[in-house]
Amino acid sequence: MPTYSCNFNDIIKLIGKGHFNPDKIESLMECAKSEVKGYDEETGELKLENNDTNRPDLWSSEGTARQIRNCHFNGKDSYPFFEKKSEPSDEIIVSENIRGIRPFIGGFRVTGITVDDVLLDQLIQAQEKLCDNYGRFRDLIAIGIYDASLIKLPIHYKGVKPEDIRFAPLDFEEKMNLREIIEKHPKGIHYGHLVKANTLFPIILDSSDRVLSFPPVINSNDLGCVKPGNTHLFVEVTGKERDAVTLAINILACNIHDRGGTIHPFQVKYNDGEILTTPWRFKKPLTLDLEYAESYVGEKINIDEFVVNLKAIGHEVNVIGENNSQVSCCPPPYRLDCIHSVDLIEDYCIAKGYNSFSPMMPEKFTIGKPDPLISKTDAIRELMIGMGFDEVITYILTSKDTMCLKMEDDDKPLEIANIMSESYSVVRSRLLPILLEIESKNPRAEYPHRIFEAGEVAVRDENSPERTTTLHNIAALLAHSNASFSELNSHLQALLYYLDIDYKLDKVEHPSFISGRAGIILIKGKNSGIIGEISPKVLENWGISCPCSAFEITVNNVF
Amino acid sequence: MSQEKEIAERLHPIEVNALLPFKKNQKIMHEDFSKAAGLNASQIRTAVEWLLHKNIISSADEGKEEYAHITKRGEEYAKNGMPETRIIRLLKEKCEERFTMKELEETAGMQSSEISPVIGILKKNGSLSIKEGGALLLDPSFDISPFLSRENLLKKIRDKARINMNELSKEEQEEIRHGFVKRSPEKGIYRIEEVPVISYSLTNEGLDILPFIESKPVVNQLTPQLLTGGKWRDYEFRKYDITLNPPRIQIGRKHPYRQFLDLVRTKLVSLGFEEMTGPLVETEFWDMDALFMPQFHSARNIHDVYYIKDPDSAKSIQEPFLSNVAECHKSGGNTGSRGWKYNFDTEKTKRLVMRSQGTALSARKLAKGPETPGKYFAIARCFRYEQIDVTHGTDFFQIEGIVVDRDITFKKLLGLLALFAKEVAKAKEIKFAPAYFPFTEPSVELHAKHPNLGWMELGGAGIFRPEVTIPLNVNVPVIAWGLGIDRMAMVSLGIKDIRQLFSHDLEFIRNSKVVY
Repeated sequence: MPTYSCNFNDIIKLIGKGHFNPDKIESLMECAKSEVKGYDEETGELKLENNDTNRPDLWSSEGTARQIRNCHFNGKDSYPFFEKKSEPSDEIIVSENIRGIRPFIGGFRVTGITVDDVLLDQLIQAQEKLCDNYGRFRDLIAIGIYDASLIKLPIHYKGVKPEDIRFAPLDFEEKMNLREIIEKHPKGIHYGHLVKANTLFPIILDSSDRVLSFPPVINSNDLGCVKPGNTHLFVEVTGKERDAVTLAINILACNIHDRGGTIHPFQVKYNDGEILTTPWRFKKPLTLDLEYAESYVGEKINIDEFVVNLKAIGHEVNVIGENNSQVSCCPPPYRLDCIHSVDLIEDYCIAKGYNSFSPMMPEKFTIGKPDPLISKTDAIRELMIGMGFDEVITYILTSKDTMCLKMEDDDKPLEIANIMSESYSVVRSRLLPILLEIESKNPRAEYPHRIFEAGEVAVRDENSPERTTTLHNIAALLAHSNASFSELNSHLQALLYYLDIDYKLDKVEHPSFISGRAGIILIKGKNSGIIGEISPKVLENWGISCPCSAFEITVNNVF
Repeated sequence: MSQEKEIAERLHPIEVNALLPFKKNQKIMHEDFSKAAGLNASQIRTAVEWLLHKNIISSADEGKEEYAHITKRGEEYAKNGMPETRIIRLLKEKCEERFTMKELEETAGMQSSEISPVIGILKKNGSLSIKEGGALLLDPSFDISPFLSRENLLKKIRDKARINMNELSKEEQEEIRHGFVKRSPEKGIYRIEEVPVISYSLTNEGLDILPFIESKPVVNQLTPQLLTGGKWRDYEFRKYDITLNPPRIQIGRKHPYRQFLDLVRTKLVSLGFEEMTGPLVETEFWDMDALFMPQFHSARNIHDVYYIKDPDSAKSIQEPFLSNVAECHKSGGNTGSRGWKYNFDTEKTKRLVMRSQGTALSARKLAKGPETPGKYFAIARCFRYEQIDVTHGTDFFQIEGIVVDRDITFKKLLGLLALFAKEVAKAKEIKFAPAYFPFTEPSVELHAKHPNLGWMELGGAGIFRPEVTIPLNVNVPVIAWGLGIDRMAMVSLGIKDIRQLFSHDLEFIRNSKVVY
């Protein structure tokens, strides 16, 4: 989930209404689905985590403040630049040869604002969150911000052969061609894979053929370096999907507008004759029946109240239909997450405040019941405890060393493809090795040790559609200076006697057990488990200096 | 209770039995103590030691007494007979043999140094004469009985180990003194020991305690023998010091976390929920696609979910669900949604992952056709690609479920959460906050106020999006809910590190308390 940081005083300034202390901010954040993860009283820095992976507009101070302003302080969005016409030279001309590579671009200029540290920090943060979390690490979208006073308009966006153009990338004095950049520049090495496969690489140039950027890799060092004190900015977004590019443009424009900047839209001229002005207000109205909303929420809704609440958080709403029974709703330009009328219902509930609804208890009668297999495992657990065994609960992911190597066993448990640590790199296929791991860690605990675990394991199974099966196993381990096969077998005998299950032991040679002291547990003729005295070699592998006997049963096979 | 009574009641049975004779006698001699108290020698020794130490009795020195013992030589004589008796017997009983000195030595198996003094004495008092050829002749009327009674005395003392001189006759005393060689005990056959005479009597404290001592003998343990025939009536039972801390015994225990999970499970069953189970190794389809999480969703990459290496994919995904879900992602299908608008990859749906959310079980249940109305829950092990620390484990439990009914509403969703807060978490004060889950709308977080820890998140819930239910052929609204069970367990068990829930430390498991 996206994490971001804001300055407390900056947030208050952006909300623009109301006075509150940092304690209050936590509950105010709820409407923005953000949680306060930390607050530094000295610097006023708030560390926030946003739970909505579908609302990139909220991953910034401006967006968070906007949501709070709308939900709690009767704020009303006002973004007039969406209706503004662009000036003649504010154009981006898109070449035909970029179509199959990274086809979409949008941009705008900003005046009437002086870049300071707070603005710069938030711009960089918004850029990062949009590019990484929303833009899938620049694959979907990438953003560039420039000192507009250095740029000669209009802008050109096209594909070039990587060797045909040279410029100094950000933080480098030396000019390189695009191929050299993806091989040598740190950002090039990091993001090069996004363009490498193409014969043409994307490039943004101004009218003097000076490079603004090689998206999505790196900006130019000359034009693409914004500093405090700049008063005139150019912002562009390139990407693979038009809506995603437009959304990022809209979010950035609204954020800068909220700080007092004046937004100057750009016309984007595509090669096929299409012209799109950015920022651009999406025209995707959703229709919602009031009756549906009522049945969803669970109470009568006054249509005026409904409209007021939706408008309060930025929607454009019109009442339509016979008897004014429907609303047509255009979500705010910085949002693309409303894809079903249920999304509007949630917005209504959030705007009204979840805690203003009175909960209704579910009243329908249903029969509760535990899962039959788990009930059987419970019965076994009771018996094991009655015999004086302590229950353990352990992780299902474990290491190959625990599961196989130390056990002298060549079992092939399921392996994790993307392991984080060797300790959790395989899925346990049986419980017994983990009981020995526990025994190895507890030589100081008072003896005798009688431990068991009842839990799930996963094994290969070509008969299952998933090629794997989850089994419910139970394993027990006995460790003390005279622990023997016969003592544990008496426990097994008692366990199965009370479960009314006949069993037979069939001698087996197994590398984990002493030869001649291990048996397969046969229940109704079916292999249902194993019992034996652990071989001294295995005990030595574990560093256990006490005899151990153990058994393991697959509960699925027992009943 | 008076101090004396208390002391009296805490006495050990052998102490009580040792004190009982003082009810009748002021003074008890050391010699008589064992018999009077009905205790054996080692018991009385212990009892006296304890009582002296506790200053309940005192001892007094009553002069000395003499005891007769026999020496090593005396023991030998008692066993084989005294030399004079043996010689006299031989001479008297076998006079026709006419033994010479030499023959006598051989027959008796004795040294001449032992025989000569005896012969000397007999000759002196005229009972023995030496005939020609050196034959020794004893007067046939010689009386052997004084010799026999000396031998009997020797045997009597040997049998009793020692005898008080006062218990012996004058003659016997003289005999002993005669046979007692003070300076070189090896040579004599008797030894006289001087023993101090000790008596015991009660101290002032003892006198105070005595009235509180039951006159019946005291025993430590009720035994089957005492129960048989009612013999227990003749005894008192020692009163224990029940304030002493006993050692704790080791018992078999349910794991504390399991116990907590079982409490929640029982509670959910009692609220009418049916339990679901499902596979640990899950397909991306049921884990994510069916839950309307787009395939490009940030929680679906290799930094969030564990993928299985081999086999890496399932054989197939059940139809019509695969086609329905694919269409829904692409265009919304027949759900009234616009969908995510991207190229849905049906191969990716088969990819095997470690189940990352318990909601996968709910998705499978929806596809199987749940009851309407129906309530379901699962206690599911889930896995996230996360660095293990105080609050994150590689796997953890989620308690998740669904409620299916025609008249499910947002307000009923809030009601269900309020019910969970009250019944499962026993929370008194709760609040709701907006939340985000890819598969529910609206989505709610449940917060409850803990008396010490303040507001904490108990769980999340929402109404499944139509994009989830309709492709799985469920046409009624469904609540999906989940409880943050690990966190609740940590609060309930009073632990701060989530890893302790899966602890390998036996002492931790054995020492943890029961939750209820």
